Amino acid sequence: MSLLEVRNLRVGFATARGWAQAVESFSVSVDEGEAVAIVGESGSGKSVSALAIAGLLPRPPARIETGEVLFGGRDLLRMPERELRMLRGRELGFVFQDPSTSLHPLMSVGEQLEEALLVHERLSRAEARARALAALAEVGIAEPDERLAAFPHQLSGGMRQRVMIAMALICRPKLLIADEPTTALDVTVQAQLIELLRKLQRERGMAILIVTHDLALVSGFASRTQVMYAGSVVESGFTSELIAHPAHPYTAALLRSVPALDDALDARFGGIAGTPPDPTQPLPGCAFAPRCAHAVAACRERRPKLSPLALQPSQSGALAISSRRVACGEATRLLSEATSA
Amino acid sequence: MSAPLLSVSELTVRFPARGGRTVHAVESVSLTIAQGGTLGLVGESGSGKSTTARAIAGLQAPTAGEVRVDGEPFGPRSAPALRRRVQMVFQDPYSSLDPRRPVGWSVEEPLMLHGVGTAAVRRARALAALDACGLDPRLSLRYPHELSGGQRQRVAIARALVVEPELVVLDEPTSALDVSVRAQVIELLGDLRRRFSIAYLFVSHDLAVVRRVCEQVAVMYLGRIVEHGPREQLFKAPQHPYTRALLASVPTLGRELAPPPLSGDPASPLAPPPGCAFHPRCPHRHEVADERCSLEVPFLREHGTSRVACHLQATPLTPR
Repeated sequence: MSLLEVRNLRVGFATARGWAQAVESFSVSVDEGEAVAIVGESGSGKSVSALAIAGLLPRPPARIETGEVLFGGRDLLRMPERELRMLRGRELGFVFQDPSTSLHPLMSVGEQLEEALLVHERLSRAEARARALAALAEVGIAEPDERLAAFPHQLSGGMRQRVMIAMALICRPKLLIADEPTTALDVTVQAQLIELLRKLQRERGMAILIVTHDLALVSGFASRTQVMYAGSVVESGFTSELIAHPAHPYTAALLRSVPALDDALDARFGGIAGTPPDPTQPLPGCAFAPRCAHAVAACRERRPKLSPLALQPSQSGALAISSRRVACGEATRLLSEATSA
Repeated sequence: MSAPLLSVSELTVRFPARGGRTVHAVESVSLTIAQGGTLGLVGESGSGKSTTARAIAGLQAPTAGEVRVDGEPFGPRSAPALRRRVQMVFQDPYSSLDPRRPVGWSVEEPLMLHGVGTAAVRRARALAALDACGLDPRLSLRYPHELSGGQRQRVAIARALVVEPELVVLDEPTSALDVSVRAQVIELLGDLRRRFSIAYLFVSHDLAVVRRVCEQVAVMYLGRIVEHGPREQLFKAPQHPYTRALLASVPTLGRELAPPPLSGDPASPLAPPPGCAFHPRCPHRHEVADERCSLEVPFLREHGTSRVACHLQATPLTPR
C-alpha cells in the first residue's frame, strides 16, 4: 500500500466572478521513501492540490467537492482538525516557496524549532535544544548555535528556507510536501537545497512530494512525475521516460519551451500560443484543445480521461515506456508519428 | 572607429543604509555595447545587476563613474532627445502600465512625453508597435488586468519600442512568466532586434535565457563583473570559478543533478568580503599564494577573448 494515496480530488473556490474550478481531477500515489513530482504552470492547480492534501486550504472560500486523501490508510479530509494538526507536525512535513510566510517573525529560530518538538514529543527543554541544534546542522547551517538565537529577518533567503526545512523535518516525518521549495532562491543555493532533500530522502527513507514549475529541476530528482494543466493531471509516468518521450501534446510543448545551456542557438523554441482557460468558464472538451496544434473535432467535445497509454508491445519495448497514463485521445497516434518520423 | 553606442566606465553605485552603513551595490563596472549589440548581465540576488541596469537607463544617478550614450554623458538629467534613445523594460509590466488606462494609451504615452507627431500619428505608431510585438491592435482598448502576463509584457516592450530607441535595457523581462510564455517572449525579442537593429542590455538570473538572447555576457558577483566575454567562450569554457559554479548549478532536462558546486550563500552587499568578494566560497582560493584572494581585489584582465577578474588567472584552470 502507498504511503499517500490521493483519489479524485476536486476543489473549487467561490470568487466574485463565480465558481472557479481550481482542481478538476487530481490523483497521486507516493510510496514510502519515494520522490514524486507534480509539474505545472501557474493556474494548473498544482499548489491548490498540495494545500488540499495538507488540509491547509482556507475553507471557505475553498471547497473540497470530492476526493480522499489516504495517508497511512486514514483519510485526512475526514480527520478531526486536532488530530490532523498533530499528524502534520509529526508525520507530514511542509515546505513552501516563501519561508517568510511560515516562520514567526517575532520568535527566534531556536524557539520555533523547540516549540515544534515540545508539542509533538515529550522532551525536556535541554533535549529539545540539542535536537534543534542538530536539525540546523543537518540542513547545512554553519554556526548553528549562533543561528538558534537569530530572528528570521536576520537570515538570508537561502538560510530561512533551510530553517523551514529543518522545522519540517525535526520530528522526522514520513512524507515531506514541498511546494516550489527553491523558486525564490538563487541557482547556486537551489543546487544545495535539492542535494539536501535528496540526501534526506536517501538516508532517512523519507518520501517527498515536490510541486514545481521547473521540469529540469525534477528530472534528476523525482522518480515519477505528474504533469498538470488547467486543474487536471494530463500525464503521469516515470520521469526519465516522460522527458524522453512525452505523450501528451502539452507535455511535449512544455519540454520544447525549456531553454537549455547546450541547445542549438539557431533552433527556434516553441512556447505555447494562447493562455489556459478561465477556471470560471470550464470548456466542455479537453482544456488544452484551444492551444493544441494537434487537436481534432472530438477533442473539443469530450473531456479525455487520464488512462493508460495504449501502445503496441513492440512500441512500448522500443520506447521504454511503462505505466504511463495520459489524458489525450490522440496520444497514441501522436507518439507513433513522432517516433517514426 | 566610431564610439560604441553605450560605454560605461568605472560605474559605482552605493546607497546609505541604517546604522551609517553603506550598500555597495555596484563597484567599478565598465562595459560597452556596440550599435545593435547584445550584452547579457547575469548574477544572483545582490550581485548589482539590476542597479547597473537602472544606472545605464538613466534611472539611477551613479555615485561615481559615468555612462555615455553615443559619446555623450547620459543620466537622469540628460536632455529628453538623448533619453529617448535608451528605454527600459521591467520584470513586472504592471509597474510601467497605468492600471486605469487602456494599454493603447500606455504605448502612446512616451510619444506624448517626447512631443512626437500629431494625435493621429501617435495612435498609428502605437498600433504599429503593438503589432510588431505580436498583439492584435484590438487589444489596445483593453486594460492591463484584462490581459495575460505574457500579453502585458508584450505591451511593455511595445511601449519601450514606440519611441524607436537604439538601446533597450531589459531587467528580468521573462522571469515572472510561465515557461511556455517565456519561450515566446524570447523569440519575440530576437525577431525585434533583427528587424529594428536595436541593442539590448539584458539582465537575468536565467543563464539559459541569456545564452539565447545575448552575444556578449558579463557575470556579476557582489557588485563587480567577474567575467565578461563572447557567449561561445563564456558558456563553453568559463574561466572564473564563480562562472563555472553558476553554470554547474543549472539543472538540465533529463540529466542527473550534479553535486552542488558551492556551499553557503553570497555575502551581503552591506559587508562585501575584502579582497575578491567571492573568496569565502571559492573552491580554488588555497591554490593562490600569500592569501592574495582575501587581501587584494582582482581586476578584470584580458584572457583570450574574455576579461576575467581572478588571481588564479596566472595559472588558468584546466577545463573539466
